[in-house]
Order: sequence, then C-alpha cells, then structure tokens
Amino acid sequence: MLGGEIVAFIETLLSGIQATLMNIGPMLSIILIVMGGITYGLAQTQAAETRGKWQAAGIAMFVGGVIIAAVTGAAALIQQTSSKILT
Amino acid sequence: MPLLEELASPASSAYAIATALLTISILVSGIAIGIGKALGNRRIEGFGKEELTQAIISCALFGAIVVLAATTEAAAASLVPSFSPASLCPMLSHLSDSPAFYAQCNYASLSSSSESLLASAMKSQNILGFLSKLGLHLGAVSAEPFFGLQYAAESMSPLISNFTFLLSLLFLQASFLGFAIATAFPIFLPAGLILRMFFPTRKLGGAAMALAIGLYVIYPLLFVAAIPTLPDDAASIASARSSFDAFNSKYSGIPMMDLQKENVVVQQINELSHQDLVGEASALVRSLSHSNASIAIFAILLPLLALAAAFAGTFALYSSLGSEITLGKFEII
Repeated sequence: MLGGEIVAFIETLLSGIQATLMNIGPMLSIILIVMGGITYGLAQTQAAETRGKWQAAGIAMFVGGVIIAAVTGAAALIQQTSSKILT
Repeated sequence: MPLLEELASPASSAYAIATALLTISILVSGIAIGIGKALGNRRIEGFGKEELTQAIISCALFGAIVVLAATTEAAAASLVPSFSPASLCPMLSHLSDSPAFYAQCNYASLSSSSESLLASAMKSQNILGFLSKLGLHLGAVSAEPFFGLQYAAESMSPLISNFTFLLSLLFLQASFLGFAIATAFPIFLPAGLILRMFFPTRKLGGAAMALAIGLYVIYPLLFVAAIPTLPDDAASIASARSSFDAFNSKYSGIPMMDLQKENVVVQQINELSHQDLVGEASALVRSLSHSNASIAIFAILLPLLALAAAFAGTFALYSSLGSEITLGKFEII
C-alpha cells in the first residue's frame, strides 16, 4: 500500500522533475532555434564548398528546437490522449 | 484503499505519480529527439524515439489498467466454472469470485475437514494402543488378548505423521493463495505498471506485472480445473472421519474403565472378544491411507503442477512485458 511520507516525497520529487523539464524544454527550444538561425546566417558567409554543411547544421538545429517545443508543449496532451488508446 | 483502486482514482497519490512519470518520460524523449536531431547524433535521436514509443505504450497500458481496475474481479471470475459442481465453499456459489478466492476457500474447507479427521484418528490410535496393551495376570499365567491390535496402532503412526505433514501443506497452500489475493492485483500489478513506465525500471516493472498475473490468474487455474475431482476426495475424508468417530464413540469408554477392579476388566475383555476388533482396526488403517492419498493430490501434486504452469506463464509474460514493446511486434501480427 502506498501511503505516508515516502509517497508524498516521491510525488513532490516527480512534480519537481516534471516542472524542471517543462521549463528546460522551451529554453532549449529557443536556444536551438536561435543558434540554428545564427548558423544558417553564418553559412551565407562561408565558401560555397562548406556552405551546404553549415546550412544543414543550421536547419537541423532549427528542426530540433521545433521538435523539443512541440513535444514538451504537448507532453500532457500526448499523455492524456495515449491513455485512451486501449479504452 | 488498495493500490489498484488508488491508481484508478485521479485524486490519489498513485495516480499523480503515474501521470508524472509518464509526462517526464515524454518530456525526456522529446528533448532527446530534439538534441539528437540538432547535434546530428543518431544514437540520442534513436533513444528519444524509442522512449517516446514506450511512453505512449505505457500511457495506453496505464489507461487500460485504470479501466481494468473496475473490471478485474469480473474478468478473473469468469474463469471459475459456472456449473460449480460441488464446491466445498457454500459462500462461493456465485460467479463473482476469482479463481484465487475459489481455490483458497476450497483449500481452507479441505484443511478444516482434514483437521477433524486427524483429531479423530489420533483418538482412535490412542484407543487401539490401550487395547493392545490390555492384559490379565492370573498367577503364573498372563495374557494380552488384543496384542494383535498393536500392529494396527503402529501402522497408524506413520500415516498420522504423514497426514499431519500433508495438512500443514494444505494450510500453507491456503496461506499462499491468501498472499496472492492480498498482493498480486492490489500491489504488484499497479506497482509493476508504475515501474514499467520509466526506462531504468522497465524490466523490474514487467516482472512485477507478470508475477501479478501469474499469481492471481494462472496459479489458481489448475485448481479450478481440478474441482470436479474434489467432491470424491472430500467424500472419502468425510467417510473416513465418520468411521473413526463411530469407532471412537463405540470404544471411548474403554481407556476410562476402572483398572483397579479386576472383575470389570475381565468382563470388558470378555465383551470385546466378541467384537471384530482387528477387522475394524484394519478398516480404519485403510480409510486413513485412502485419505492420505486423497489430500496428497491437493497438497503436493496440484500445487507443484500449478507452480510449474504459473512459472511458465509468468516467464512468458515477463518476456513480453519486461522487454521493449516495439511496433515491429504488431507488424508481425
């Protein structure tokens, strides 16, 4: 039987971790999107033979940032929707 | 409140822990996919994708278990045969009882009737032992006319010891089933589900869930299947007990006779010599042997077979639940 102080501690700990991740997610997302934009901008200053690599890296950062924003923003919704798959 | 019911209640701590774990799992997977994509690291990205899939599957299992919490008893109860031929438990005449409850109650009843038989058998052995030593000393001549009963009394000793051992196994079985009822679905299943939600404890969670199903559903099933043979065995125990009781009530006064009065003893021996004591004693030994064999099936054979079946089922479930459930498995189907 779960109960008592240990359960309350676990619940608080998990809530804290969840809140931290919820805060880190958008920050990481913004950092990656901004860095992606900077990298893409810098790519234009590079020589033609290396520009492609820089552009790819910039786009990858941008896409990564968008994915983090999408998944962290919709985490609660994904959890609720998935819980109803089998019922 | 049992953990299973607690897990199904949105206001409870267990529910909050489960949903928090699922959300954390989704958040970690989203961050891993994003970082993996940004850094061009396929391992981190792959880990994120795998974790997201597992989180969604865990969410689905969690949702299912919440519904299952309300229907578990009914689902397990449907495994108990509706004809319920001759259960030893009058209170288990309806279908709302799971195989574990059904088995536990029948074991408790069987133990109870066996316990009564054991008490009667011990009394009979005491009477037979007394009779075998009953003797007359008339000057130079001494006689023990019922000395032949000593063999019956001695034969009964190992049978009674064996019966006591089997009876303790029956009690053990009933206690074990009680443990399964108290812990399997109320504790192991929800705890396993919570542990399975997070990747470091996935295997442990799968094992706990498999153990819960193995204990509560698979283990008592063999007993449910053996129910049709139970009435015969219970009848043989009841018949043996009535034989012992009849013998005890017929000869219960003998050990209490006044041994100081020689004429009383002589008169008693004279009366007893007209009885077929050896025949009665051998019938008692035979019925006790038969009862030993009857309960040995329920005390040793069935539990061992049920344990083997439960182990195989639990192991198979653990292989599925403890490993990553990937979409590839569904593609094979």
